[in-house]
Amino acid sequence: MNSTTIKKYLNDLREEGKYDNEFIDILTVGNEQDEDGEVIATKIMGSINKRYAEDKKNKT
Amino acid sequence: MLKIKRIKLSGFRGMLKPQELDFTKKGVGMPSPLVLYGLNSSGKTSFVDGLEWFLSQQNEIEWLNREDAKQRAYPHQEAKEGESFVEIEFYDSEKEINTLRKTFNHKKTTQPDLSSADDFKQIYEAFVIRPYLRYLEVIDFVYNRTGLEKYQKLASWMGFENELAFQEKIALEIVPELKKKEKQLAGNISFLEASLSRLIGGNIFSEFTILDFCNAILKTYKIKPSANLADLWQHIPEISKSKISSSVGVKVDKLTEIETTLSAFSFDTELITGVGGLKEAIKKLGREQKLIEKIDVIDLYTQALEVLNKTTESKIKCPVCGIEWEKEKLLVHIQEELSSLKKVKEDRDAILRRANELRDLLRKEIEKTKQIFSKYDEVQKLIPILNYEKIKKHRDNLNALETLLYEGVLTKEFIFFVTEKDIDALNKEKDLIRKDVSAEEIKIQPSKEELQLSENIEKLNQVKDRWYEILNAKAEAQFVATQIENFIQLSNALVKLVQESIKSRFNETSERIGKYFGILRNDKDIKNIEIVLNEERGRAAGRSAEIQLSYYNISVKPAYKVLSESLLNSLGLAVYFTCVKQFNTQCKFIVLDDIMNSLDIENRDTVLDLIEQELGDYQVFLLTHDYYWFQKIMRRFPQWISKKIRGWEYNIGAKIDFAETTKEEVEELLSDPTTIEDGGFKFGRHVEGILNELCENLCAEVRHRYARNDPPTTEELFDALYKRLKDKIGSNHPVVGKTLNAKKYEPLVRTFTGHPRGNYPSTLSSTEVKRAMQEWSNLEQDLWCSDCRHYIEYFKTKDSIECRCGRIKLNKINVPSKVNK
Repeated sequence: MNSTTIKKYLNDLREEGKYDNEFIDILTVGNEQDEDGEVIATKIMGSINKRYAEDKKNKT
Repeated sequence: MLKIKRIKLSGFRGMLKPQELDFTKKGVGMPSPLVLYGLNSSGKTSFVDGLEWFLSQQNEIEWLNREDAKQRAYPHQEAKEGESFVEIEFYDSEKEINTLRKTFNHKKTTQPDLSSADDFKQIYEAFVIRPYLRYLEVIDFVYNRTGLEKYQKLASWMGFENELAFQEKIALEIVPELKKKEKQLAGNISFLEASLSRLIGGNIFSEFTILDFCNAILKTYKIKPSANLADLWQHIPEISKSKISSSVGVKVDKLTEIETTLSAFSFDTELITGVGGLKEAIKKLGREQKLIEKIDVIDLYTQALEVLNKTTESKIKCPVCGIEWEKEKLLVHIQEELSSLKKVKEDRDAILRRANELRDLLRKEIEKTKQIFSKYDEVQKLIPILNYEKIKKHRDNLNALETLLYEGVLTKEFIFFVTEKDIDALNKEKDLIRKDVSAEEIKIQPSKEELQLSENIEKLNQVKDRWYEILNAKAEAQFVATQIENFIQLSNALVKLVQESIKSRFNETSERIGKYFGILRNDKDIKNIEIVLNEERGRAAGRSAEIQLSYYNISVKPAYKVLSESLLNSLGLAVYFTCVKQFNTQCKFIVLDDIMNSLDIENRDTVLDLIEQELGDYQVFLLTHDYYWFQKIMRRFPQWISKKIRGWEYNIGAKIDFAETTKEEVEELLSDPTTIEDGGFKFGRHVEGILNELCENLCAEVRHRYARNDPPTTEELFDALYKRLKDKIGSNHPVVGKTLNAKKYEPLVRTFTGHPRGNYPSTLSSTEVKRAMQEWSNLEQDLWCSDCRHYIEYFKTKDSIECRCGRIKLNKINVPSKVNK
């Protein structure tokens, strides 16, 4: 199951430019591949952890 | 556009022999609406059950599930394998679907054989709204369902299930999972803070309390207090220089460092709890070992399904087991296998995720154990008799668990020997070693100052380390919280878009519900009926819906707070008919099973008004056990096919005939000397029914029917009608005269009504009944309009008696005159 309506809404939000594109990508794939919420959450946390590591690296 | 030409039932519910309902008329291409009359238990509902089962993708009859009569109760008890089926011939304007058959499989009761899986798929998709409505379902939707359930029901009716599913995924899975991670990070900070609190010997700490604690130490060595921690840390190397450099000093220093480390550490049982949960899940899954081994073929089965749906071959080999199957049976076989395998895969994946989390926990535990172990080793160099077997065993157990978690929890036997008792023993061992260390410090007899200095330096170092760890943990938690907040803003924006779209669908639908409710109930005090999204706070905020209306100009939600059961019935019908009209645009077929009996008598006509005005292009299949109502529908919709069930036999099922008008029926019965009384009975019931309707239409004064056993007699009804007509149109009006003529036969009619009032002879000649019928027909034809198909009514505002279209109008006259037609 996936929803073209959700895909469209996510594209609209991307165009608004106010939201995190990487998160939008994760939700788009999650919708297309009908991923479990837990899987989507793990991907989001993975992205956040990566950013934190980079942020820390840049500060030192 | 789809309609139904023919329904055939065999060996299903109450029908043993094949029975058909034909919805076509000779020479008319388009199937017609049909009204079916039958007494209770005559087999009517078997047709509705058959339709529900046929149109159900889950192959279920919902109301039977409620009574715990599962699939085994669907076929007739005497039916053999292959004899129980429902067959429907469709009228399809696109000419894609013709006749489809669903056959009950006695071996796999939940998996019937389908004549064409593809065509059935099309049919399932085409009927967005179930086309069959039973009384209980109306009440169930309006009254019994919670806001969340209503929203889910509306989602399936209005086709926004996917959006709802994603909305729920965000609200119930993704955001809570992210919040869990946020909580874990906060928990880590608390753990570090607790450890630092233990070091400084207080429960509350802040930068100031730490400064106070460390400045107090530095003061001992005549060092000025620092104003901030960064300055303070600079003094640690300074006082370290004054540390004693003798061998005793080094030894004391070492022992002090070890003791401080051990005092800040404690073994806990978190890992044991995690292992216990995982073990239980593995044990459960262990029963499905054979299926686990087949998980890899899920893709193969999925691909096979796609191929099968396209192929036209009748016999095909299963791509997994290689056995040759009939196409339909193979489809069922693969779907069953896929469903079991997917369930096992989900369980297995959950175990693997849990094992992954446990690995993180284990890594921390191994690290800590390693750290303590190395401290013990160091102590042993200073105190050679030291014994620490418990921690050695614990280390080995942790290593074994790590190997197991990495090599695969599902392929090896899951063994982990550590218990809560072992953890207690480890803590006791640690406390004993601390005591040994303290004893050793005393034994080597360093000076008090030496001991104090070593201890202070170690404390300052550890406070510093822990402080930086806390700062890092807080920075990470803050960073993650900000990012999660960004995600929540995105998901809120997405959910808002979904909700806006759903609200616009609700608004569109609400307008029609209001219109339909207005036709069903002309109640001016109920206005502005709307389906609204519940956006207030709560667990299901934004994911639940309710019906709201304006009652005496006050907004009420949910509607059932103020509506009577009768009004709720009408509201439920309005919602259902709206959804059918709005969403079943491809399938213009609707079944109404005895729903009229859920409505008050005066509101039944309005359902027919609604069907006539708004669902004129729909093919209605109406079932009723009320003979008077049946006759009324026949009069109102002469173009409909009318059928009745003559009787029902266990070894056959229902016997269905075309229905005639009352007059034709009575005449047929009177022509046979053995059925004259049956004819009289039919005539009597007919007259009684019409008299009741006329008295009601004309607001004639009839004794209040306060108990079921004491209805007005036909004499009272005749008298009330006569009096009303005389008052309104004058005693010289011919219709009044005809009423009196018809009333002459009232004693005969009374004998045959449902509740006779006297000991009148029941044996009559057909001539007498015919004469009574003739007089009655003379009257009835002046009161019935064949154009608008309604009896005359009294219109209070105009103070007139006329039919709805105005073609028949009875004007008041004082001299004999003709009826105005």
